[in-house]
Amino acid sequence: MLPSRLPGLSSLSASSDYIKSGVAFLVSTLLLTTPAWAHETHFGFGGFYDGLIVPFLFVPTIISIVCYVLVNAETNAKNISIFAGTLLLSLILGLYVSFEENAGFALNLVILTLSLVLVIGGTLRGNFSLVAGVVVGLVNGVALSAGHGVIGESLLYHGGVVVSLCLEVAFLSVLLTLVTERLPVIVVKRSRQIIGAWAFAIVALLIAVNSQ
Amino acid sequence: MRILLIAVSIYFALQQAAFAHVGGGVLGGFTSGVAHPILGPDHLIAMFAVGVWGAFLKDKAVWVLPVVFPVVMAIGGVFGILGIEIPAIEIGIALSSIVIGAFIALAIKLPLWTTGLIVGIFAIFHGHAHGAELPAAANPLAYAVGFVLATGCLHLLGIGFGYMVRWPAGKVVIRTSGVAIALAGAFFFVGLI
Repeated sequence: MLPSRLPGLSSLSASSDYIKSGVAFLVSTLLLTTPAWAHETHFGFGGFYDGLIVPFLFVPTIISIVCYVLVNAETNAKNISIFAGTLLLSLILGLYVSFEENAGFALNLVILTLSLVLVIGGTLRGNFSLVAGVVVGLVNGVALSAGHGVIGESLLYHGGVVVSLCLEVAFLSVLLTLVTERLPVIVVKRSRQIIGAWAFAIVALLIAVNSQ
Repeated sequence: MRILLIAVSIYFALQQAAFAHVGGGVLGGFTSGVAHPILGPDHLIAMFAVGVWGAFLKDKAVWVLPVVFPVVMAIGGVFGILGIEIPAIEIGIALSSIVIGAFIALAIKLPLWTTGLIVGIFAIFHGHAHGAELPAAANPLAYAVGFVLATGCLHLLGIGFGYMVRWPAGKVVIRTSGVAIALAGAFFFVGLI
């Protein structure tokens, strides 16, 4: 039984309709894109498992997800559904419009903003939390889709990315809740600020290097 | 558990040769980034000292200093990457050890904002030194991740050490370490002149 100290996780079990609809959506997407399995034979050319792996190989994506989870005071099924929906839509959008030049920069700016919120000890609730989910989903989707060529043609790959990132958000949220339950509040709060400072430093340097 | 720890230690001890693949200096990625603050004694001592000072001052300083340092260090790093010159970088780095070490040794307690300001000023020098080398790295992102994480870990190490201040004997040890830090800084400073 998960601790229910964070309102998000208690509502995660309560509002299971979101989860059911999300799972149904993903399964139907995967079934409808079965021919894309043909790509699976070539690593790096798309496919569900490549989609699962790619977000873990892209450091800014990992940092953005960590910042999003830490800054989010309410991780619930509604937030994750909206995050997943935006992510999928932006991945598909990335097929038709080339954002290759700006996608990484936009992702870095979002991380910079989230990390600054973390550094000053802020958290996002209500509509702000939903907006953060939409923005993080959007920039990650576009960044992971942009410039992938053949990979971008595979909806199965995109399904993998969505599943991977949603599981990452859910796993980190549960982990954060478990840690919050066991450590003093002040330690959790200050640790979030320190992680935010590290994220800020890494991304600020990355932006500067990329601008060269 | 003990056997497991011994086995892991032996395993890592035998892997030294593999470091040959990492690449020297700033040419590498994550490993070089981690190595830069750790293998540079001037950086190592100053970052450790920041953590010790935070723990020595107690209360909010324990957390504020490790937050201020990386944020301001990043700004200094951006200056370094963009080629914006800051005079006397190495002297500033040496002074950071002297000043922070002296504050610890003399048990001087300043207001939190002053402490943050002092640490922030020195962080610019350290950040500039890292940032100037960053564009030459084979993988700048991995290099940045490496040195930021290494810097943070050195702060945490310093905080852990500094918590000895809770005991009377520990306070003496910490103040003595402050003297050692200041002397090390003076050694670096003399070496620059």
